[in-house]
Amino acid sequence: MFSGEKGPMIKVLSNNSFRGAFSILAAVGLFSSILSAQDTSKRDSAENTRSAAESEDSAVQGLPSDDVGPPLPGLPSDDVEDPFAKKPVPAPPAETRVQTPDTAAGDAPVADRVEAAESKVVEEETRKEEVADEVVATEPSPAEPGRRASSDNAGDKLVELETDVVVGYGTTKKEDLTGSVTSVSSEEITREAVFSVRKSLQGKAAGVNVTQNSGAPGKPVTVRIRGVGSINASDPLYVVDGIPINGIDFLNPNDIESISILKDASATAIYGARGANGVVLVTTKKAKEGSSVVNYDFSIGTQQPWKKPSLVTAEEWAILNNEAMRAANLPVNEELENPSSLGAGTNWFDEITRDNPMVMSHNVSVMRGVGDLRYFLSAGYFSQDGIIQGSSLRKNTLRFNAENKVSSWFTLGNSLGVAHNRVNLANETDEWHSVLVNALAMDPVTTPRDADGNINPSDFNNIFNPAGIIEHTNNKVNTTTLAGTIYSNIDLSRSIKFRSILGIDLAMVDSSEFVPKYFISASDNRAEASVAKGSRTDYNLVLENTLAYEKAISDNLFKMMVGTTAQDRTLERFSATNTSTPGNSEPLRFLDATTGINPAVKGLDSGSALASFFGRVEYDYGNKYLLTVTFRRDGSSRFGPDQRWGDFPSAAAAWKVSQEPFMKNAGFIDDLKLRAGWGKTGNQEIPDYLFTTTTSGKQNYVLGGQIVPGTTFLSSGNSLIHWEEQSAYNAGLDLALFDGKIELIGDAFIKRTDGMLVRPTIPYMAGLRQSPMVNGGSLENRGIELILNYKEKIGGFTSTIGFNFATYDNKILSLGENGAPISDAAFRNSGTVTRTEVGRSIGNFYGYETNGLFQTQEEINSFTYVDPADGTVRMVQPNAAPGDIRYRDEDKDGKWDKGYIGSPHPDFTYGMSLDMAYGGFDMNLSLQGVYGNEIFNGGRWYTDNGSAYFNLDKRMLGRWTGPGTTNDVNLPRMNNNDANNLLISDRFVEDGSFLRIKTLQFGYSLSNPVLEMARIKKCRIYAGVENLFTFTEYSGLDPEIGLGEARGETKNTSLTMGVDRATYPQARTFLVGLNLSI
Amino acid sequence: MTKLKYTVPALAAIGVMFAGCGNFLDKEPMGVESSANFLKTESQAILATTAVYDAAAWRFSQEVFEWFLGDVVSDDAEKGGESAADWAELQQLKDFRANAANSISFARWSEFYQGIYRANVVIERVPSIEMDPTLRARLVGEAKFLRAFFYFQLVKTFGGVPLVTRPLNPDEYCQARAPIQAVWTQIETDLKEASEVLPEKSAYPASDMGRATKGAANSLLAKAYIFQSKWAEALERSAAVIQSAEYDLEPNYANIFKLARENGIESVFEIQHIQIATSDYGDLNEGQETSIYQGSRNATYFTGWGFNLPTQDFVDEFESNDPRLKATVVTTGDLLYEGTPAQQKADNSASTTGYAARKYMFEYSASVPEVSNSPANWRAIRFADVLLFHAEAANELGNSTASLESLNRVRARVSMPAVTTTGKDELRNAIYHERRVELGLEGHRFFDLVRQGRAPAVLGDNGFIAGKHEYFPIPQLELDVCSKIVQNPY
Repeated sequence: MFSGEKGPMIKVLSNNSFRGAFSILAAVGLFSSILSAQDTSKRDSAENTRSAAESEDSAVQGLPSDDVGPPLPGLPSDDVEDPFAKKPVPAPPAETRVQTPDTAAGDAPVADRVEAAESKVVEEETRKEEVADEVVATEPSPAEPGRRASSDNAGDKLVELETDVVVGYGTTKKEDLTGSVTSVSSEEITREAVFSVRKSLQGKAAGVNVTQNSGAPGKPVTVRIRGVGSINASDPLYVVDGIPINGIDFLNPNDIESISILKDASATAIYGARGANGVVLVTTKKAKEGSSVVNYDFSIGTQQPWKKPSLVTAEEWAILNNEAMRAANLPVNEELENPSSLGAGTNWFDEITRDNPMVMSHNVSVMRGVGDLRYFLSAGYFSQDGIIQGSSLRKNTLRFNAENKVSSWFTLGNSLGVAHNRVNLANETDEWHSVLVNALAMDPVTTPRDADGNINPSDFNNIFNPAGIIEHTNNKVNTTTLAGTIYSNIDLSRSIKFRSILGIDLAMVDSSEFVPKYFISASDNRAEASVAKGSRTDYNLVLENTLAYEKAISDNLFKMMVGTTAQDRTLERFSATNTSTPGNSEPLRFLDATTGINPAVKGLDSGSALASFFGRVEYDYGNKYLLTVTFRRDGSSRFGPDQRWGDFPSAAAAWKVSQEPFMKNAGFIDDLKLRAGWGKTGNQEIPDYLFTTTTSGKQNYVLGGQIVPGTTFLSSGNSLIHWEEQSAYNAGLDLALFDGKIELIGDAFIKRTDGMLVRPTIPYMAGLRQSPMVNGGSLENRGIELILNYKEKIGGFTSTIGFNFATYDNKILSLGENGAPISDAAFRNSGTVTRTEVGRSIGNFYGYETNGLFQTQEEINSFTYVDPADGTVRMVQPNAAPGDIRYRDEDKDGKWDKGYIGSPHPDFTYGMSLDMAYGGFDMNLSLQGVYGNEIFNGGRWYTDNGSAYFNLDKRMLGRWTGPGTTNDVNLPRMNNNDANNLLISDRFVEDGSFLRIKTLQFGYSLSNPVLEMARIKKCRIYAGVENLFTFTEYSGLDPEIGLGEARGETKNTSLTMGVDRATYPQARTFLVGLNLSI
Repeated sequence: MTKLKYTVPALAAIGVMFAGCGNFLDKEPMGVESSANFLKTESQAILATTAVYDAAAWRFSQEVFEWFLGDVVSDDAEKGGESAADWAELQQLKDFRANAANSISFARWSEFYQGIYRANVVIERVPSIEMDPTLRARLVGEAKFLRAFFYFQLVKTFGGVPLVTRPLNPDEYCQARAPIQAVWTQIETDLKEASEVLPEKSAYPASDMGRATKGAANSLLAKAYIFQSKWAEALERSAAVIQSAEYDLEPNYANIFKLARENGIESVFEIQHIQIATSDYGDLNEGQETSIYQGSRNATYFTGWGFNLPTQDFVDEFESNDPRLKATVVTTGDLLYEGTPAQQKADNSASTTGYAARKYMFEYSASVPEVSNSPANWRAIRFADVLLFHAEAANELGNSTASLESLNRVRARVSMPAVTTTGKDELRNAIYHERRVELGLEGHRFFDLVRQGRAPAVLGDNGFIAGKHEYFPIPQLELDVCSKIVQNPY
């Protein structure tokens, strides 16, 4: 399987029999560990006297991880969407597993800091590091005899330098880090009432940009680490307990011990081909030796929209509509002749939102460390009803992690997570059918239902009645995930350790949609019901072996690690659709009930494999000079036989200046370290098989009244494609002052992606539907990150303040030989909104440039150009009238200028947190901010539309009504026949900066004497608010936009950032909860 | 040791397992064929030929955009739609102020070249397949017909275009525009060769209904000659079609566009569609979209998006009592669907001209869950068009007798009085009139006006400038990647 000559450095490990043996052993070990659970408590071997801390370290952090392909990118080329589709029908639910968010149940029990300090356990820090589990924190210290002495009096130190940090294939002490790694503790992850682990990272780590694509329960978030690394998939690699996983939304946040985010190439290069977009390492909980804790966490809360749209009343709309009709010389609508009789009318946003939808979570876990066996068992339930009717999430999780010390040299263990998510989706399918778009656009005069309860059509436009959309949307996605590992650790000698791990990641997504037969109006009806079912099975198998060696010779400390990994992935998709059911009732909403004679059936299968060799050498001289060198060689089935192998080296060095003799006098400096690193990583996130030319079927035609099959080539493969390669430089500084009260971490980076896989625009005369992919593009991200933490303890009062700041600059250097700009984000038959062009950042907004409003006909007449064809002077906007937008024509060619009108990339992002505790009371506040980005506010295309065809925003009451009334391009005249003012232009681009109070929480922990009486180790109650307030100038429903899912398709690239198509807003959540430990 | 007991068999098992893993990274594609294996057999030749037809049935470039350009960008129709902003790019074309980024001309350019590529694959690879030689010749003939059909669409839209007659290698992707004459020559060559090998319509079995025929090849060839004012050749080819006795006029004009008369006696070449309720977009869709585009916004059943609104000027072109007006134009109060008991009266209040287009309107019997998926075929060439070409060519050649015979055959069908004038100019005008009303809203008008040289006079008020607007701008994207392309004046 691995050819020996490809990886000479680890020949010994590529001995397949050797490696394979241990995976079997691991499996056996799991069973034996379970079977022996009952009597392990009686066993007590000499090994158990080893430091608990040590063994825990090796167990928790030492999981090597291997390299597996993240999610397969989009559908194959023959599913390319028709760019001119006028009224797309709701697509079947996107088949991505990422779609189901995490149930982050409830809330995060916060360890009482004071108590934690007293219990002499490594304290949780606001910043990362490995985490002392809050439960263990209350555990009597004798259970942990071997804790480092330094920990004993480190309780109130902010900077815990000796803390172990999980890095790729191992751990390292925080003070010995040479690369840029941020870790986030379980406390930080569970503190917020979010269901998604990824969402909980928002604002927590400098340079990690987390954006929710929609506020709907179960919708994915976008994570970008240090800018946008590619125009292809730019998601980081997720590794859970050492095994690459296609997404981490299946995890229960309460099961997570820590998350490490590897940001720079010297840290990620050990993941080689998939490290280019950063790596997120998740470690799930394990019991400490000797621990015995049962936790119960509960939270319940209610949600509301933090903002509502400010739309006009029925009376106001009638006035504006009449004005628009008159301007177009059309008769005024009879129903609107008397505006004052219409009153406020329907508030459609209220019609589609729920009153106080509930969010609730339960989590129960057991941790036991008894003799040779330690295990963690947990069950979680999370439920959330969305603020928009019809949307909801239910999530169940189970986890079983165990480790069995079989002998002094041999440990077997496993981690196993099972999750089941059930999501009901609101209709956000596309701009025509989205319930939010229609709630913005539906006129306020129409009422939701008539006297008989039937849904009313609008008398004024073809907008779908939002109440009807909610009633007729039955769109469910169930996701079942099973991800687990079995591993064995073998100490071959005191300094050589072998580890073998077998991982499985299985995700099954089952989607279904039922569209009933109904009739609201001629334009909103279904003659027949339809049922669609889809399934997607993504199966990954990973096998990995590592060998670690550690040796100290006087002042020299060597650490070495070599390993191999292989991953095999199979992806199977299947969907079936049929029409016509005998009725709309629940029992008939299944394929079995359909009677249509032309069912549509589709399948799509693909497979990929990845094989890798890797190694790392760490050298420490005198605890002053640190050097880390890594190397990885990856082979991928996604590239042709001659191109599939890639080499990914890295090197990083650090100098602990504070250890130098000349720093001895600067006593206030605890730690000063300078870091520098370089590394090369790769990206292979393209569909399978693109290196070879294949046929495409279903190019069918109708002959003799029947569909006959057709097959041809749609594109051609390129056997020369290979890895995208990224070279990155990082320089950083770590500083700790005044006994660890102040910590400053700064990083600057440059990362350049070359050979970016692009489909260069080739001449269309070649006749290919898609141009062959080539390694033609390159882009660069540069940036700075700062983290500043401050901690104070005065008597019983502790407070911690954390601040992080990050900025990046993204620039496309090349898009291939012909370098044509890429247009994306099509908007309502009005062309595309974004454009990606060499010399600019990815996905800038592109459109017409406005220049105020015409005030008089004279201004229109004098806005002219000379036509070079015949020398005639012609008007640039002959069809305009006073009150219309004047577009720029700087080059005087008679054609309105189009240009770059905004960027979705922020100037900087920042986050802040404040923790305070006194006695049993604690308080937490966290803020998240984005500054300097722009948003294309698509909602205003409807509500600021002078034709008054749609509902209007209140601001249109200030429209142009005569010369001098206004020159604001956002307020053109009302005109039902408006061809002038709705082009994709800078008038729809707004500042997207915001500062959000993400969390505000108050807690109280019952005092010890009370608890002891009840034999309760800990009991904390709390109350809090999520998204309490958002400071922003943005006029849309929510400034957090994400990737703007065009037509229900998450393209997973960054070309559609910041396009707001009436995005489902985030909820404000009021929450109360309980953390109980016994 | 217990562990050793497991280790030994495990080692053996693993050793066996990995012995065959030398090709671990070789992953064969699933569900598709590689290029090395495709187009080697007769059945593959049929599959590949069907895929060429498929490109002719894409709903935008071929059909919707045909009347976008042919009707809306003429004096026959206004754009319509939800609002003026709906398909604003079409309005820009109509006002002759579009730019080269226009997505309508882009779609025509790129999709017709995809069709040409598919035809080229067949023409290049099928002749060497060992198979029934008659079928082989016919399949290649069909591909040549379709290639000519695509080039005809390109040449009338853009003028001279790059001439690609085989699948290109990557270093050949950028080709200069061929002189317009060279494109016409290629079209003529392909159609002549196709007409030699293609069977007549009546020679095909019913299961092949819709394939290219000898009559279709001759008709398209006659049309190509007409566009070049090659009157003698046009006369010869159109006469051949007429004399083949394969075609006749549908007795009742109003029935031409009925589903029941698809591929009927008047049909020379139709783009075939059926409706599959379960697939609305993408490759699985074999329905047609013109019906929903042109449907009335206020219809009770099968409401549409209200595009292609007939102008008063167009309505006025019809002689009084010409039954073709009612079959072409819907006026408020007209019966929309036959046999519907309630609310069957048309309401055109959403139409800016007060009229709506009738020919591709849904039939009530066509019950479709999603109306963007109509079963109606696109009538690309019908026999009346061939007769009028014959009449036009004969008149230009001074044969007014032959001309009047064909012209009046078209008029007789709708009981309009026979034209009697023999003056060349008067007769020409009569033929022009007849084309406008007989073929109204079928996507011919703009291209007719241009080839007849009348566009500046008729469309000047809309902004048409002679020498500038005869051809649409070549897509900017093509210019961006292929510097050899010279833009049209526009």
